[in-house]
Amino acid sequence: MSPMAEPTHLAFDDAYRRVFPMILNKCRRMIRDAAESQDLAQEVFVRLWRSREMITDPRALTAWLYRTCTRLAIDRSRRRGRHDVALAAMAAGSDGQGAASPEQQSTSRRALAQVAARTPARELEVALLSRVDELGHAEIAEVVGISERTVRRLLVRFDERVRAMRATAGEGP
Amino acid sequence: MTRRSADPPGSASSQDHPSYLELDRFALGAPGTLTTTAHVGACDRCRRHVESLREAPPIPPGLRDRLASPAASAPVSAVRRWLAWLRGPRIGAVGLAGAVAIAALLWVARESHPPRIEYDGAKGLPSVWIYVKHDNDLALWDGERPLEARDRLRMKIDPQDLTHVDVFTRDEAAGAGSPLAPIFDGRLQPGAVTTLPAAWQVDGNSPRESLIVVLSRDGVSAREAQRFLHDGAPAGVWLRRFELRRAAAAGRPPERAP
Repeated sequence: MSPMAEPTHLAFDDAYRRVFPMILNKCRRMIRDAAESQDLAQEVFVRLWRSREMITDPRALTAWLYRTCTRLAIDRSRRRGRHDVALAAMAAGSDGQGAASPEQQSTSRRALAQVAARTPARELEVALLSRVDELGHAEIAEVVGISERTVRRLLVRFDERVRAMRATAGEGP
Repeated sequence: MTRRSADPPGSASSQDHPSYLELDRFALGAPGTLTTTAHVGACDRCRRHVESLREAPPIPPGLRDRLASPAASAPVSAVRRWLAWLRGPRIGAVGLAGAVAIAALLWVARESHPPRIEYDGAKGLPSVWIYVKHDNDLALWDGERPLEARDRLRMKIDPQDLTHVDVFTRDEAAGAGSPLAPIFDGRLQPGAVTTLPAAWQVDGNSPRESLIVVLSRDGVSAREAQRFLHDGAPAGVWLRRFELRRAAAAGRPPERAP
């Protein structure tokens, strides 16, 4: 593999071949719906193409892609009124389906919706990068542009929300 | 390297894996660690991930159309990212030196004469301040002073209760109908005055150029911003256009901002 040194000079086909699978993988990890993740990946690629002059090395490129994919997924989810339930479920590692009875499943989903509605976008972004993409604290700090200390604080806060949700839904610890 | 949690702890396949970010960087050829290289060589799961990145699906039919839209193809003609220069190990030293220099400049400026401020707003409304650095002189822009090639711009925003900023540029010399080119978008903390992390440099390709700043809750596309410029911004959207005239073209009358 040769370094992607100058995306500015890449032809469209070459840029697509080298970068789009990475974008699509990242979107699929967050969004289970195939059409939705494909559409999001295309939007990210369009934005990348617009910004190609500004991104000059693979590290900056990948950080930009992870940040943009995650933020766009959250923005889309909120714009479409889905209250981030699916994304919060991904970040929390629970979608309520594991509950024993339909009643418990319903309670669990309601609790998850509350978590989704109350979680600030930045906190959800950090949780997704940690739990879905499995990035370390230093990597998240680099991608989001915040300190590692802030990353840790946001993850602790998110975990507290999830614990409260599980207690409400009777899911256990 | 970070510990990946996908495998149940204690399972046969449980081990330390590089993060997806590290693997993606490895696949792109970014300088990585020897540990990552060795791990990918030995781990089926990580090798499959890297190999999957080499298999691009066919180009979706609508993608070229989306890319061919004016906003996607228009180059950033007169302003460029200055921040690209501040990358890697230089950023800490330059940032510290810059902070000291800016503090000193502001102190000297305060002693000699009050800064001229491009303040667009009123109490309770969003506001934007534009800072111009010319050679070593940093000043808050008054909205009138012509700019010169290589002047550097930064922006500070008080979004009030809005949460998203989009910045576009338009080559006014090409006519009022020329497309907007997006140069920045990001989220803002409501009620918090924020200096945008991006900075731009005037390059002098166009004698007159506009910066269009749009604050909203969900972000706007270039096409929406163009419509708002023409028809006025709807409720929940705040838009301002700042005309950046180059020194050589300063004799021309400025257009009125909407």
